[in-house]
Amino acid sequence: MKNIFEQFIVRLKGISLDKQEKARMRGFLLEYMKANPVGIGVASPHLGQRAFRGFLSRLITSKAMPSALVLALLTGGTISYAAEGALPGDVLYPVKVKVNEEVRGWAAISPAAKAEWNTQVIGRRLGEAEKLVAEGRFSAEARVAIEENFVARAEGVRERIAELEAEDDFDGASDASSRFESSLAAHAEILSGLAVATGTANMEIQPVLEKVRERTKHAVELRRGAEIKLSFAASTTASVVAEGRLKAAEAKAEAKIEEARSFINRIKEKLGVGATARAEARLKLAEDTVAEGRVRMADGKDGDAFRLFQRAQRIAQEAKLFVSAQAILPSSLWLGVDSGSATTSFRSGLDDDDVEEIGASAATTSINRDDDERDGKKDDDGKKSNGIKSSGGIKIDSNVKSGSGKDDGRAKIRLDQ
Amino acid sequence: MNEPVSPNDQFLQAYDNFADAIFRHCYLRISDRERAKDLTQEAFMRTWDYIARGSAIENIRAFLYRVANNLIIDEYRKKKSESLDELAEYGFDPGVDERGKIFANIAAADIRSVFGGLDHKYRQVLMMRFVDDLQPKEIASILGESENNVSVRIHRGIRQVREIVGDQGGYA
Repeated sequence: MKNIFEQFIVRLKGISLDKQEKARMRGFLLEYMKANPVGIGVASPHLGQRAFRGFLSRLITSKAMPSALVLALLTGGTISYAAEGALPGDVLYPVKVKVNEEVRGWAAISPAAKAEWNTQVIGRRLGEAEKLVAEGRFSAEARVAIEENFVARAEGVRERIAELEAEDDFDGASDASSRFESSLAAHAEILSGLAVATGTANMEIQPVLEKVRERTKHAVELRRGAEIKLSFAASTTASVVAEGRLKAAEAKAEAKIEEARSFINRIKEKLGVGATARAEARLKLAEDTVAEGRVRMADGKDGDAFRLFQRAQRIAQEAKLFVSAQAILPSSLWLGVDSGSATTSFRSGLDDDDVEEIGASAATTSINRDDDERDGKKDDDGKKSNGIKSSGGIKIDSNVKSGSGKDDGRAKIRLDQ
Repeated sequence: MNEPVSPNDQFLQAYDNFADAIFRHCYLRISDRERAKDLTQEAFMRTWDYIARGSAIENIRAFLYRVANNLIIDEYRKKKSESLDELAEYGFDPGVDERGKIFANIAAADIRSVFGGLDHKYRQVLMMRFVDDLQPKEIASILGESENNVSVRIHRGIRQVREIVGDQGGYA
């Protein structure tokens, strides 16, 4: 004879981890404890760093490592930081991929976290390719290594998104696929610009670029699919929840624009005038997209509004990514822009329709990724345009130095995605 | 039993005893089961980091709660677009959790409307007091508030539950 309050409490108590979940977490913690035994070293705030240090100590005692590497490892905990700047072919590159990334991967548990981590790793791979091209040492071996990892990680993201959708987490799926798309699109553009800059001097970049473009198309499809499912799910949920989600998307878009803007302001000196102008044009585009989203929202067109906010977020994210890649590349290689076409060279989508064919013309990099067939939105200048923009695009002004000084391996800049 | 227990064993025992409570604590405030699991694991990892550094923990349960609370606050900050209230409003959505079998059989609306109707400041203390069986003194220390405030809030929370549920003779 329990009163309702007690029943309520009993039901709350029912919320718990199931046996499998609990056991799995316990197993992970056991490993973590082994990797970080009591008393080793000074704790650092970075989670991956801690686990890595413990992992290192086990590696050292294992005899499997080549002695040169062991010597390097014995120099202490800055190794993982140094490895972060490593490129394929560098001594520390295996540490970066097989150790750092492995350990940081452990910290991602939920499908959303895993999708995000995989997306970041993809960014790392493509960033490495970009740096190698800029340094004039992008070899076939490097390309193969990067491609393999890239493809595996891209598959990983797809799987996670499918998991999220299977769990009815359409929000998460939409977010993850949106970020995935942003990252790929930004890198596709950077690589394309680099391809032009280096001309025929670099044979290896083209295959990578093709793969990235292909994956970008997949990512667009994934993202659209997720958005459609989300809008379907939203229409069957209480309006309070749907509105909360919509407002969240709006706020995220604004926050991203803000973030991109302050980032650009911070590294303004490193960028050329052209790059800055272009980045700001993109941010303006993002802001306009948000404004348009608000109009739709007021109109009650929640689905459209949501997609527009997500798109604005992508545009801002891409602007930031592009600019951060530029900052890392040697200043002799500028991915500049013809100021006249600053606003049209990159259309992350106010045009209708897909473009199936990504032109071979290297001067063109825009991939129309718009959706919203229902939108029927026109360009700012009132023209509906299909197909590839074959004018404008990216103009490269460059002096490519080949074989320039090796990166000192201490770059701690991560392409923050 | 007076033999010294190793820190490892102490920690694992704490996991066995409190993992569910910490998870529940996170889940009822974060509303995303997977994310709640992430945070639960993170809370234990950070607690272990602290132990591994050589620091002794007097009350590991309270420590875990505190770490989890901080992680939850960080999570809210990340989603700064959604106010605490908003999140708390639909912070409890049985529909999202297909593994929460407990809700499969009962009227999900029941819990949601009761819990959802509560002010979020009451939810937490009620849960800690009656579900996790923490004493008001411990709750106070975890939340960094006075024991008095905590007791008052508990009583007000109970009252609100009764109001929502209409506890006049609501006996099963």
